[in-house]
Amino acid sequence: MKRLWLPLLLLTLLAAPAWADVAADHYNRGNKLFSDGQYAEALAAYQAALDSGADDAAVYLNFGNAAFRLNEVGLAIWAYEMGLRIEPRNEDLRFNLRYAGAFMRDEMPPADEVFILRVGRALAGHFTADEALAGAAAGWLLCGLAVLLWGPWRRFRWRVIALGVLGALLLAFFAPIAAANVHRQAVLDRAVVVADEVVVRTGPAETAKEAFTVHGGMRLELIETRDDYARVRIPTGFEGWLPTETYRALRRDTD
Amino acid sequence: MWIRTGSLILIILLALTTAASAARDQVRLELEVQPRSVLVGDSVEISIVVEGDRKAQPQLEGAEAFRIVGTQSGSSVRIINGVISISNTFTYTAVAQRAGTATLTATLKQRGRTLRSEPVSVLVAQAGQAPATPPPSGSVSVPTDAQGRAKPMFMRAILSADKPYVGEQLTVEYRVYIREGVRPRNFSLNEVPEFTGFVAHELITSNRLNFEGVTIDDTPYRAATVKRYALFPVAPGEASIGSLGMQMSVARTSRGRGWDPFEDFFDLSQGRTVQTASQPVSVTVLPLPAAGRPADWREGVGTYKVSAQLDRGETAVGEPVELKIVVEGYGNVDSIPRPQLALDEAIRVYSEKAKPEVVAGYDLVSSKKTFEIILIAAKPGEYEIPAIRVPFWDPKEKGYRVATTAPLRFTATGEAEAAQPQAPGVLSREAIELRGRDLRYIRGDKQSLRPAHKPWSARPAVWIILGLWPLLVLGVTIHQIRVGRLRADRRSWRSRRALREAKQRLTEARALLAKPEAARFYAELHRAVLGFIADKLDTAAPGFSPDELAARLDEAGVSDETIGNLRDLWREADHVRFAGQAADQKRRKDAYGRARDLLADLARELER
Repeated sequence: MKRLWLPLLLLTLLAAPAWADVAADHYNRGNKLFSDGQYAEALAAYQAALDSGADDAAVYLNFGNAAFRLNEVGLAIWAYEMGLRIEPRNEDLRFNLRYAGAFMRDEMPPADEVFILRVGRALAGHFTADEALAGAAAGWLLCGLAVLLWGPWRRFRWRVIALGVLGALLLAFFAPIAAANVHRQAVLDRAVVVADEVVVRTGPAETAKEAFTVHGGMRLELIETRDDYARVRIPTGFEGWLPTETYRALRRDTD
Repeated sequence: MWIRTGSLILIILLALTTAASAARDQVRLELEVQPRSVLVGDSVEISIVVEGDRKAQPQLEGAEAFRIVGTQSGSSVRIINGVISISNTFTYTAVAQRAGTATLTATLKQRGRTLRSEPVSVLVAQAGQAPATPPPSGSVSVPTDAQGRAKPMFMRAILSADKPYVGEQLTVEYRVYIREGVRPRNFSLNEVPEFTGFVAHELITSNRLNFEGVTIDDTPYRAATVKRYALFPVAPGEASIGSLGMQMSVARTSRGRGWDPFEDFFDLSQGRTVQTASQPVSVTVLPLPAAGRPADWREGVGTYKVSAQLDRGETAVGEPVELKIVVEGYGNVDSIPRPQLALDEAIRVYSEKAKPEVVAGYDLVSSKKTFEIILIAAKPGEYEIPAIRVPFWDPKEKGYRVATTAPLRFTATGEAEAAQPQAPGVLSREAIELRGRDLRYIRGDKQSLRPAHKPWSARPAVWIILGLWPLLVLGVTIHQIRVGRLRADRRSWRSRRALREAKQRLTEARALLAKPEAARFYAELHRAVLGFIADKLDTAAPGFSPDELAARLDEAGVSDETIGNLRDLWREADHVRFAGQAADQKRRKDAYGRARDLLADLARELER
């Protein structure tokens, strides 16, 4: 087994650029097709890049643009949301999401009325879960380090205090953001309607009574899945069942 | 400088005055009443807002059913986009005195003409009044206990109908019944009813229980309404109405004192708390008849009227016109979809907003749904929006009816717009602002892409490290505190460290066993033993003569044999170190062994 270790490592190192090349090839081919106005083919190429293991904001941006050019507003919104998951401060993605959102047929409910919640949501939206977690972890480690150094570094007391204050500030700022973003990423099952129009029913069957209709781009919270149907909640709080093929989850398998 | 500032203030004042005089021509009168359904004796707040005339004194018409008990007024000035609006608000607090529907209107006389606000209807119900559809009194029977005696207190859910149609309002009234001779004190609800298969709205109910005398099965009772709900069935079939539970503190009245049947129940003259709850009820919901159903009917059930208006009669091509449709009446307004619009192909529908308002009255739920639709004409021309139809099933008439508006017209002027092939059919208001802009362009080619990877939060190692960190900090801190405390007690600190340091020196001496430096070897042995004694006795090592040392050790309780061994080792070390006596490896090994035994003996005896 020990003898196999080195060849396996080498094989992995050699294979990594190989898949990377495949994904990048699909992506670059998609760009060429997009420039030629072949949006459907470009969309397929970007999808192939994603299927090859890429999880890059550039792929999602270009995917969204191709989908939007094909009037697939829901698919475009899904792609921009996926991209912002990786690069939340990407201005191109933010603008395109707002732009595509303006073409939605369903009106999203207004943002939180409470000022502090609105500010909190805006702040959380500027960081990925990993960034916020790293900031909170750094604050956590600095606080502990300050405690550790308090005894031996008594001569540098003010420096240790400064270290502790910096750690506490980092922790106080990033911990709530990390909690919110990790919860959103790891606990909440979110999705976006990608079909143009979907009838949401009162049960997981075609024969169930129609509850309401949603359109492409509507954000969903997945509650449970049964066969080919999922029980979802829309931002206004209404719940119902819709076919799983009509939405795309806002997460990768690795998330 | 002063002149310039003064001129600036003058210009601003002039601008304000001009704007104010311009705004004065547009006087607006609004009337608002909250709440719009009350019981006799309850109070309402009536607000009249006059905008554009600071000196106006509006009048209130149709308020005969109310007694005005308080008046307030205030004014405010707003400047929006350079336009000044002055508004005066007159607020009246009024108490409802007569049951019925009062229609209030605010009026204002200005320059020989009378302005009138939109009328507002207020429903005033008599407290304790029976519902519109009186409950069948025969349906209430007296429950009995295990001994067959009539229960002194019980609760019932009384329905206005037992077979409602889908969407038709069904009223359920929860009433509590108490035998004569029992005095209720206070109550609290502890079980909220669940309604399966209904959309429910709570109807207004007085906060206090207004009891009235009733006779059930020849037994005199007092009954009061506790809660009332308007229920709208959502689908045909069986639907259930849950139970309402309450706790009531009761006592006997003077009339009831000595009344035997209650003795076991209300055996305390000070009263007691009693729990009661209604029984769940099932109803059969009927489907709406298909006969006579208009083709464009969707879900409307109730009694409605519809009105529509455009915010302007003339617009430019590409500029928005707002169409406001208001559907109001009695029923579940949520079920009313946006009326279908037969629009010209050149008119695009942009944003649609639906704002439902539901006001629960004493018997009925009055509701209003406002649809705000932004229309944009892509070509110039005269456009007509045909009559807007709202078909609904009228439960009173038991038939379908259609509410309609008059056709609306507007004119669009200017050049025809170029088509937007990528735009979906319906855009939002923000899309109007974004028109003329486009998506940010795609990113360029890349050599490599970011691979999908597990986020940190999904890696257990991250959480383990973050979780262990405080434990590590705590452990190290506890150790530091302990060391600090030991150092503070110097004698104890030296004593604890003595053996460890002596062993360390012995180890260094051992390393010199095989080397020719005999003097250094004996010096290390000497330092190890003397250092140990100095640490244990908390004194300076070099300050002892052999006799002094022997005396100190004797005082500390060390045996004469051990002191003798120490003297022998000391002497041997001095001979080698200072007299140049030879010491081969064997002799040094022997000395090393004796030093080790000596340290063990000293440690044991000094500890003792």
